[in-house]
Amino acid sequence: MMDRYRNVAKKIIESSKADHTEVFFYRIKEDNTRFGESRITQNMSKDVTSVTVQVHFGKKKGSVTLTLNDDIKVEEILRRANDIAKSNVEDPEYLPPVERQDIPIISRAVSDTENLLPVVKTEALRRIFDDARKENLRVAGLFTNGRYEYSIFNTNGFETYYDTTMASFSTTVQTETSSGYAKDQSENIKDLKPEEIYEVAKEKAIKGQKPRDLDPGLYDVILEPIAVADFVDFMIFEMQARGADEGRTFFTGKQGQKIFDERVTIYSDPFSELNPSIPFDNEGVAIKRINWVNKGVLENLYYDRFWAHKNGRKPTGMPFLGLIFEDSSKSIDELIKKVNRGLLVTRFWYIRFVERKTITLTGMTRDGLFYVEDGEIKYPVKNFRFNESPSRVLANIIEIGKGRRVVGEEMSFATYMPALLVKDFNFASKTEF
Amino acid sequence: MKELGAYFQDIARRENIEYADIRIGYYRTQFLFLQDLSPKEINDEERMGFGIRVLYDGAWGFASSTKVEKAEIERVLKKAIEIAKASSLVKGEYRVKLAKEPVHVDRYAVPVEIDPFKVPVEEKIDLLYKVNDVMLKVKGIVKTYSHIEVRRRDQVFASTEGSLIETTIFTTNAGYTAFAVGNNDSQSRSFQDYPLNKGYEHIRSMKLLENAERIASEAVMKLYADEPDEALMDLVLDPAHLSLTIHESVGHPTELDRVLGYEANFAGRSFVTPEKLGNFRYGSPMVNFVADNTLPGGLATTGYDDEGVECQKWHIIKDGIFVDYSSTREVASILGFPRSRGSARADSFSSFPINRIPNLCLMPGKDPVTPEDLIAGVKKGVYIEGRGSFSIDQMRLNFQFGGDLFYEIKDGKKGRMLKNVIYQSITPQFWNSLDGVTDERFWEPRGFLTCGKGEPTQSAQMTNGAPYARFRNVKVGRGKR
Repeated sequence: MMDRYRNVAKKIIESSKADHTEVFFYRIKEDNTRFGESRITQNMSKDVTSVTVQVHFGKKKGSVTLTLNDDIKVEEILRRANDIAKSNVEDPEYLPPVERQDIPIISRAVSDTENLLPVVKTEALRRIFDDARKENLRVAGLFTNGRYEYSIFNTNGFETYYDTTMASFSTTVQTETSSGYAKDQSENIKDLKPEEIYEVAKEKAIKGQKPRDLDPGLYDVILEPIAVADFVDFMIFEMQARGADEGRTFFTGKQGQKIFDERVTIYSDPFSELNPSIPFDNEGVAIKRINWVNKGVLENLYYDRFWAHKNGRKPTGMPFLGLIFEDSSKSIDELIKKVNRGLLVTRFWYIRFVERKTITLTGMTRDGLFYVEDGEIKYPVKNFRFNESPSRVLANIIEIGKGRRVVGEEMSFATYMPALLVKDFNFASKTEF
Repeated sequence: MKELGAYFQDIARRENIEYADIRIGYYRTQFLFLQDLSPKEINDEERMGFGIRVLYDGAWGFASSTKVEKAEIERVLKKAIEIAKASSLVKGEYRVKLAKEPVHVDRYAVPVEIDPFKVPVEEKIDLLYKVNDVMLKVKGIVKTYSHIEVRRRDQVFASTEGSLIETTIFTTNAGYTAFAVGNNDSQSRSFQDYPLNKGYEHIRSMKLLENAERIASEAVMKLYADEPDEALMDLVLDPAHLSLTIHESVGHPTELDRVLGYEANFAGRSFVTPEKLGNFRYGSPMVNFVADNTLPGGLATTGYDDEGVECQKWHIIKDGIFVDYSSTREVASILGFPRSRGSARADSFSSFPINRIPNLCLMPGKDPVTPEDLIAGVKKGVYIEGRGSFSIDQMRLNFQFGGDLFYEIKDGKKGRMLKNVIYQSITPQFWNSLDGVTDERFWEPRGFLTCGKGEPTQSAQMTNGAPYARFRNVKVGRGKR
């Protein structure tokens, strides 16, 4: 498909009278099968390609975004973008588009994933629904297969393209008094095992029945990888050099300092098999392996093109792409054995900032919270609200466990996250289920 | 587009299916965002396409396309039928049925005085530039954001039942934020977004520039404010703040689809189960929530919803008692309701309409009461303006909210500024603690453009209007450890 985008971009760039012209493409071709109450509730198909044209006149920019069809009206798009640019003010932070760079053209698309037939998905769901009905369980979830393309071209001769597919399956299994959740994803549908994912969620739901009341307070917790992802991703979001330099964030003045447990290493590498990802960001900056936190030391913050230029540095590319938190080989069961009195957290929900300067977050546990004592899971407990900061949690690590590639629910990018056993996690209040 | 709607009706009626509808949509959004004096995004977006929903043997299929022409409609209809057939293979005992709705052939347009797309881009940029410039001149301000967003949606809805509805919806919104640094702290203060289904006259009436210096100064003042005591105390909440509390703790739990388990995997379920209809005390007798999708300027005031149901007005909570849900045709029929409440909304032609919060508003009191009257009745408490942190469990019981600006209330008077205030409660306990609301003079139709729900997540807009209100003995704290 890159040729199609290149042809469209070429027409636009050649017709443009602007000083610079950039053309961005994004295609999402996706089939989503939603289910609830052990039946399909929505079964959908879409294929939408967007094209954004951005023109530069001096230090003024303007952009137009349209759905891309065969009958693209180049002159009209350029006229509209030009009108906006000429109406704009000069940008004091203006930079011309990125120069030509050596970014590998990658296709991770698997045609079996892209072209998975609705009836094939249905067959996988039939076995799950039949089992759920037999076991008097209710099952809800989402089964997605899609193809995603990103491409950028500009007047400097820069061009890049990324093409991937993704199949994902998430499910929430419910009893009268509990629920269990599991999710997995892969570029290749052959590696996705919906029934195995369902079995994990089912086991959580069954073990979680009749949860007991426990008082909120400080507990040692084992966070499963998906809980770590949703929690830590908020901190990653704050790791912008500009915010730190302006004194607005937790990371102000901390670059180069040891701020976390020395076992914490977090880096981006879109070429790693642990979490393959798009190798350029939305500014067209190539992403190479970069350490954000190395053995507990804050090694790098995210520099966008302007902030890097202003500070005489190289842009880093966005940290969300190909993010990896180094793990160990220890299983969740091994972590449980190390707990005298604590909780096992399957998943968090509705995480939001409470106080940005300390990265204090709030959120709820969900779909499987268990009390652990003397190295064993004792019983399920009702859900808690936490008020806690990743900055404190990553400094309070007891043990790092085995990781896996997960996509959390708060932010949609894939990360490779370990399970964590941490000390004194702050649960501030409880709920009724 | 209307002709294509009629064409769709013609070809869909020839198919061996129970029901089908099409939405052909044109969406235009102009978004302007300035960071300090740098125009970071000045973009005009247009999307066009259609989505077809088919009911076959009691199960749904849905397919969409961006190629708006007859041959493509025919192809996508076949695809939607194929998908519906796949769904029907695993439907079990359940069959989708649709609550009855009269056939509508109509046109509805949001009345606007000034078409927001005809207002020059220069004027919009100039306004945002001046707002940020004023705020940046306030000592202590290190960062400013400002934005204007204007939207237009033209849609044709056509169903095999015969409805053929054209709608044109305009929406306008603006807001800005100042960030201050000092006193070993960082704080922000916002001119809160105030979206309405109105023309550009709404933006011009917002007094954006007139408030910029005050907003920035308040951000700086927050740096030096004290944190609150952790205790049970009273709250007086302004309409902008309350809109979010209403949205999360009343709007979402009374969506019937989540009550019935349709959203259990992501958005969650609800504690407001059907046996509570007509007998559950949700709030004190002063609590009246009216859903009104005919509210002038309301963000869900669209004439008809996205399955052709006429917009309505009804009570969700009456004198504190829970009396009704928001609903779609499918979920209304499951509980045997005679008609959907017209709450099916999709954020795009390529999205399946789902049960969304209507314009759901806390009604003002009938007696003349001012915000000062509410504060006068508080011995120890906090007055909160604007929205801040927000989080609620998936059954919509335990919630925790922050805010944007806080003042201590002591012996009936507003006192020193506070910062980093949060309050936490359980939904019915909270609404049962309400003991005062202001009258209609102080009622404001605040709302949201980005309510997330569904998988993949869809974004919806709705108004959650409110007066000022007072709540007794709520757990107040500081959030951070």
